[in-house]
Amino acid sequence: MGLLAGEGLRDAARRRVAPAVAGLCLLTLAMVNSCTQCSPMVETSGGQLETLAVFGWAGVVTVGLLALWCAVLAGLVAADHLSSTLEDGSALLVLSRPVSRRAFALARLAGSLAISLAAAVFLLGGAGLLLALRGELPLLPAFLAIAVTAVNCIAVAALAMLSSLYLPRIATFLFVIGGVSAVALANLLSASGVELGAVFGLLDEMGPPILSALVWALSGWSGQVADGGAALGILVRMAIWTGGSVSSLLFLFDRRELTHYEPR
Amino acid sequence: MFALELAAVSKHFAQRAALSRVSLHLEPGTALGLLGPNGAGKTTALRLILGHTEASEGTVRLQGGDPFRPESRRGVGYLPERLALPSHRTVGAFLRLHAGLAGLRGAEIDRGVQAVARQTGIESRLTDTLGTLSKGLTQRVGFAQAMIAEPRVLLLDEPSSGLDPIGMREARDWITQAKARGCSVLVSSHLLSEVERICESVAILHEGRVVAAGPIGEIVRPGEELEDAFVRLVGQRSALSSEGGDLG
Repeated sequence: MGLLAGEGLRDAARRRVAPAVAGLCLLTLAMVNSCTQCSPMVETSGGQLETLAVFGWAGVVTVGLLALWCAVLAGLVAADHLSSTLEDGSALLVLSRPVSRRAFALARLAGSLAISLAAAVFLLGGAGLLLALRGELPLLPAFLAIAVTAVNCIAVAALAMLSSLYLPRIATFLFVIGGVSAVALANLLSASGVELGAVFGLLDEMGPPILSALVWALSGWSGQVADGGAALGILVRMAIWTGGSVSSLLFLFDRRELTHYEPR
Repeated sequence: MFALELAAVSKHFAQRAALSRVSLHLEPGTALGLLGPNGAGKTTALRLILGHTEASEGTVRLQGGDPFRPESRRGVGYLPERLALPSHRTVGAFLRLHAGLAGLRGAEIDRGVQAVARQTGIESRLTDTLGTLSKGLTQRVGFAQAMIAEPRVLLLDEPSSGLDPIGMREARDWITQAKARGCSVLVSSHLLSEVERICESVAILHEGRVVAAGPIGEIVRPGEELEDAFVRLVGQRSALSSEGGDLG
């Protein structure tokens, strides 16, 4: 398993997306750094806003957007990290060894996640630290947001990898971008008190709580504390979606016919 | 216990039967040639043996076990027909990976890589990246990864592909050496003369069915070579098939 995970990580690091992600992360953090250098005091017609309120909501929006970007990135990187090895035939050579398909799929998932999780820790950690230092915000919500994002990344990556076994690459990419956007929008509308239709209502209540979990994690910054029951519901749904997506990937890859994959 | 065994195995892809009630086995320490024209089902048979696909009917056994179980593939070396190697990796790194996957640990890995690289004549190429190798050298690397850790069962799909006459002779020697230490070898090939030199027995597939199987001496008639017997058996079946005859 260690050998395979190392191989999966090396393959991920070698991909063209890795330096692009690294560059984008640096650029994003530089922007966050620039934006947090301005004075926290904001004059409004109603008077002066408190530092915590300005930085708190700015932090929620910034970290929330970065976390969503990391979830999409996790899906996009995972979308062909397993299927490409089946298409080029290298997986068949490895799977001719005493290697279980589950171990192979897990190793590929771990390799692809290394990129998105590194990006999440760097971006969310960096942004959280800057906001905490300059806006005197607590650090705990940033840590919670990193943990929530990591779990979201695992679920999205596993679902993307699973769909890549059945869908063409472009369809998997669209599935990832569309899926994360739709769920995040449903969570956002629900949190804003908007009445949702059947589809968005179902996505909000039954789908992976991608944005809801972040809003909960960052409640220490926004000041909107969720009640214990709602928080527990979110955590349980996260666990079910993450466990379910990884288990489904392993279960279905174990039973997948590998014969239609022909080396290019 | 046979090194591998297919008992009344059928494999259907949608409406097409790739294999129909195929039975064959490989005795330990011997070599079996799997012959047949293009599309006869040879590669499908190999993929069933390796657990890459599941039989629609019948039983497949590899070293006595279910090929889907990783333990059944322990001690198995496989050289696919179309070898897809990671072009960015060096020969040494690729072989070390497969040595590890084959079960070697620590210093055994480097010893195993050196031994197999020496045997296949790629010792000086271990630092070359795979993408820069010629077709013949790539095939040697493929042989090296298949033979690493001294497998008990070798599955070779068109092993002579890309090799020049000297390479072909060397490959024959490697297979003979493997057999000499007790390795069982299944060779799928179009090169009948090579199969005749390496294998004790053959199974001839045609349109997914075994049309002849057994020791070469029993299949080849006096005065014939294996190629003549192959043409006789496969050509006869093709003629019957085109006339709508029942091939049973």
